[in-house]
Amino acid sequence: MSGLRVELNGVTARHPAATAQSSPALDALTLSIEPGEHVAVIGPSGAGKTTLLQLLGAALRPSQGAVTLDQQSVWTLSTRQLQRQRGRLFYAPQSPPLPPRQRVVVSLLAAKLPALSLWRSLQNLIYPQHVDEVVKALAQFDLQEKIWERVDRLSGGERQRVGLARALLAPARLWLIDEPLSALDPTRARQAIATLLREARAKGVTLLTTLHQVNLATAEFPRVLGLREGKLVFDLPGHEVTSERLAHLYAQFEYELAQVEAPVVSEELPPAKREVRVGCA
Amino acid sequence: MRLIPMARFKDPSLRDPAWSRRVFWFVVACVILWPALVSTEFRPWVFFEAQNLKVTTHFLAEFFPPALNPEFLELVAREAWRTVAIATAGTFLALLFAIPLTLLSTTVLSVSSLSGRMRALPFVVRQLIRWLLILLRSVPELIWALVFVRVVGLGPAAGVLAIALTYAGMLGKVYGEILESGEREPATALLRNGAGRIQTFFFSVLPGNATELTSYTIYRWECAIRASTVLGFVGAGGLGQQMDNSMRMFNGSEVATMLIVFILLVGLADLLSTWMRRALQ
Repeated sequence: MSGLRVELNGVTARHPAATAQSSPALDALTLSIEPGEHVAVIGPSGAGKTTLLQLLGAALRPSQGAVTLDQQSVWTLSTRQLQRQRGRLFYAPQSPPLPPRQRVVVSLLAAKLPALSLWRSLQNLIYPQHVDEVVKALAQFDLQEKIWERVDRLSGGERQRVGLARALLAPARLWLIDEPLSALDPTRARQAIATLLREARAKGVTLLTTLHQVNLATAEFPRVLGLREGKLVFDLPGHEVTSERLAHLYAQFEYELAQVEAPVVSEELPPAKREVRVGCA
Repeated sequence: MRLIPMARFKDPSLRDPAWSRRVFWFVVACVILWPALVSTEFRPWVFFEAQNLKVTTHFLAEFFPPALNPEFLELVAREAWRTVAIATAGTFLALLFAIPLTLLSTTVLSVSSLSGRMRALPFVVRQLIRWLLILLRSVPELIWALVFVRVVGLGPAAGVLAIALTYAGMLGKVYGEILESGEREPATALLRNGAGRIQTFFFSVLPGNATELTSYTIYRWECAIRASTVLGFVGAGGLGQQMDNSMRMFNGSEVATMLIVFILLVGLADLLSTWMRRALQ
C-alpha cells in the first residue's frame, strides 16, 4: 500500500456559506503532491489552510478547477465511487469529531469502518474485535491506559490525541490533518508530530497537515507550503524557509507567530506587544 | 411605585421602546383566544352551580372506597397486564416501522449533501417518507382501532395494530428531529472518511443521541399505555374495556381502583425512564 498522489489544477473554492461576490478562500491554486510526501501548510488565520484540506479530502466542491486523487478527477465520480475514494483518505478536522458518550476503543475502531463490511463492523459493537491494534495506536500517543474510558472523560489534549490515533487505524493512503496540535503543550506537540511523521513514513502514506507551530513545520517537514489570502506564497523544503519569508507571510499577523513561539505564556501577555521571533526552532 | 411609570418620564428616550409592541401582542392574543373560548363553550362557573355541584359530589363519592375484593383485584391485575402488553407490543411494532423510516429520511446520513446540496432523487425520497409519516400519525389511534376491530375482530390485536401505525408516524418524526438537532460533526466526519450510512448510524449517530431517543421512546410507551386504555372503550381489550363496563354499571368504586392502578402504571413508566436515562448518561 503506497501513498496517494494528489493534484490541484487551477482550483478556486469558497466557503459553503460565502456569497458569490466575496473573495474566494482559495484562488486558482495549482499544486501537486507525490505519493508518500510529507507536507506542512502554514499561514496566518483565514489563509485558506482548512479549505485546502477540505478540497483534498473531497469534503468541499471547488467552484473552479479540478481535484485529482491518483489520476482520477474526484468530482466526475458517481456518489458511490466517490464514497469509495473517500475511504482511501483520512481527514481529521481541528476539533476531534468524537461522540462524547462513546468509549475511546469504539471511537478508534470507527476509523476502520471503510475497510469493514457492515456485519464485521457491527461485530465490533457486540465485542471489540481489533483491541490489539487499538492499543498499539493509542500507545503511540501515550494513551493506552485510556482505551476503556469514555471520550467525555478525557481532557482536551487527550481527546485531540485520540483523534490523531484514529489516523493510524484508518485504511487510508492520504492523511489530511487540520491543526493537530492546537490543544497540546509544546512537549506533547513535538511528540505528536514525530509520531505522525514516523507512522506516515512506515505506512508510506501521503501526509498533509496544517500547522500554527511554524518552527515545528520548518524543522520537521521536508516540504512546507506558505499560504496567504488563498494564494500560494511559497512552496519550499522546510530548511529553506527563512525568517524573512516567514515575516513576509505573516505580515500584519505577527502576533500569531509570537503565540506559536511561546504557547504557554501567550495568555498572560497582550499579543501585540510581544517581539517577533521566528525560525529559531 | 406604579407598575407603568410612563408618565413620569417626559423624556421619550427614557421610555421602554418595546412597550407598545408588548401591548399589541397582548391584545392580539386576547382577540385570538376569545372566539376559541366562545366556540368551545368554556364556562367554568357552571361547575359551581348548586345542581351541578350535587351531581359531581355524588359521582365522586361513589369512588370511595375503592373496590378491593380479591376476585376483582385479580381481574384488574390481569387486565392491567393486558393493557401493558398491548402498549408494549404496539410500541415495539411501531419501532420496527419507525427506525428504517428515520434512517431513510434523516439528512444527517445524507452522503450527497456532504459536499453542497442534496441530489434530487434522495431529496424526493426523503420528502415522500416525511409525507408517509404525516399520513400515519394524522389518523388518530382511535380511528385505526375502529377500522381494525372490523378487520381482525374485537380484542387486543386491533389495539396493537392501531398503536403501531399511529406511533410509527410519531416516533419517525420525532426521531428525525432528535437526530437533526444533535451534533452533526461526528457523523459527517465518518461519512467523509468513507464509512457507510448504516455504519455511521451505529458508530456515531446512535451513541450521540441514545439518551434522547430512549427517553422519548419510553415516554411514548407511557402514552401508549394511556392510549390502549382508551382503545379498550371501543372493544380493543385491556383495562379500558373493564373501565367501560364498570362505568356503564355506575360502579364508582371499581373505576376508582382501576384509576389507582393506572396512576401506578404511569408512575412506573416514569421511574423506568429515569432509571434508563441514568444508565445511559
